Amino acid sequence: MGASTDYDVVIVGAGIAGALMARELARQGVRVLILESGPRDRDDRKSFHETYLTATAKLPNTPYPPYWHGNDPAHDPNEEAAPRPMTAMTFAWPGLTEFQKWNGSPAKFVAFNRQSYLTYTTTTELPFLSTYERMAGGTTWHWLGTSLRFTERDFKMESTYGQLVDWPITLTELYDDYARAEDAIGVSADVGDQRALEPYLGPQFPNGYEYPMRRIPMSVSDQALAQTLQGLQFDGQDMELTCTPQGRNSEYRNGRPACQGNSSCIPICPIQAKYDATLTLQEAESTNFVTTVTQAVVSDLDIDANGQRNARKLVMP
Amino acid sequence: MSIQPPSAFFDLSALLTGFTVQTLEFAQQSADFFGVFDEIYGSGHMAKLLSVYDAHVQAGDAPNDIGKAILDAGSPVEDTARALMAFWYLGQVAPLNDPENLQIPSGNHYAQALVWRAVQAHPTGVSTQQFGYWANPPAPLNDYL
Repeated sequence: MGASTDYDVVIVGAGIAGALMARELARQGVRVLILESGPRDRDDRKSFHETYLTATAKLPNTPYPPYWHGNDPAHDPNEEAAPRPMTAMTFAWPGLTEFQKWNGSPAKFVAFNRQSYLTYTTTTELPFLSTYERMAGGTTWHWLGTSLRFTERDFKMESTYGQLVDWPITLTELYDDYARAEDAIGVSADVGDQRALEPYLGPQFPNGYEYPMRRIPMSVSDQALAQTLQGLQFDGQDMELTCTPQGRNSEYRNGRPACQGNSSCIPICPIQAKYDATLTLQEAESTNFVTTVTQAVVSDLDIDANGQRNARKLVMP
Repeated sequence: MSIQPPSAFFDLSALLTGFTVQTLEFAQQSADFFGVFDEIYGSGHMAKLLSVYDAHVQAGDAPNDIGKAILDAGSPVEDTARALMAFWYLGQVAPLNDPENLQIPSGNHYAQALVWRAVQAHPTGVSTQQFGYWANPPAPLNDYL
């Protein structure tokens, strides 16, 4: 590290949220240090792609390290510097009804969490039941690119459905933020397609809004399904097929090609037509206000009497 | 550097897979199916299979009869032939003595596997087509053989 090791902000994790925050702060002249527990892509995704192609089981996190097999009973995940659940482990996870049978038994949740790395604490809440990546770019490496907006009712879950909570913000207050996020990701969609859902979902877009790129065309099987659905009803509503907004290019944009249909969004787009957060991370770092340290595991935050997070424990190999 | 396979290897492979010699030679250019099979499956088995095939050819047997004879030959010749077919179609092979240990030796073996041609598609993760191709029906099967 150079002479200047003073930073205004430290961000833990170089995923989409960390990278976007770093980029926005850096554009305002704020010096940012990002601590990322996993490694960085070293060869423009060639190694990850080859690992995917030669894997006999092609699962959502197959291309990415660590490569230990989650079902190997002889392997202790605690030996990994930055372990995370493997897709194969999910096949053996308890289902929703089994969790209910646990009836909030802390011991069972503690044992499960120790084995699966699903939650941060010894909570007795339902754990996070999916996989994620610990590397620069985070889980956007293996996301599908689905970029739906929330609906108005998502912000009013308690008053609408008696579940969860109502948010202190509304969808319309987030219109500009959604537009910026869809621009940063590069979303391909037809706003007309999405407006067709307004009778069911309510408005989701301001007047005159257009997505950054035209929609991805429907596949042959989508077209066949759409035709079959025509004239059918469910619950008294006409059925129709609409395209989902996609975080992948439908044209050359910002140095990235249009989707070539590799059919492997999950787990890896070999040509980066699909957005991943390494792009935003590069934009952040190119300001020279952002330093990313990889393979640096933050294990704890100390919070002082004034509520300030003023120290951290940092484990670096 | 990989060894130039004997022509009998391509002739027998064409007989077993239903694809043309030219298609198989093209695949071999990209990924060494001949040499790597020997390495992983076990040395000597391919030579034995090819000698049985040659004997049938020398005897003037018809191609379909040769294929049937080999696939009914019992262990080890029949097993080798079936492992070779699976290798061509799926790009994966296991050692004879360790059948659970399936391996895809390289990305090119995966990409050149015949199954993709048979289903008129590209390998997942290896597309050579252009944006939007999926909106149109695939090319006819003959274009892939």
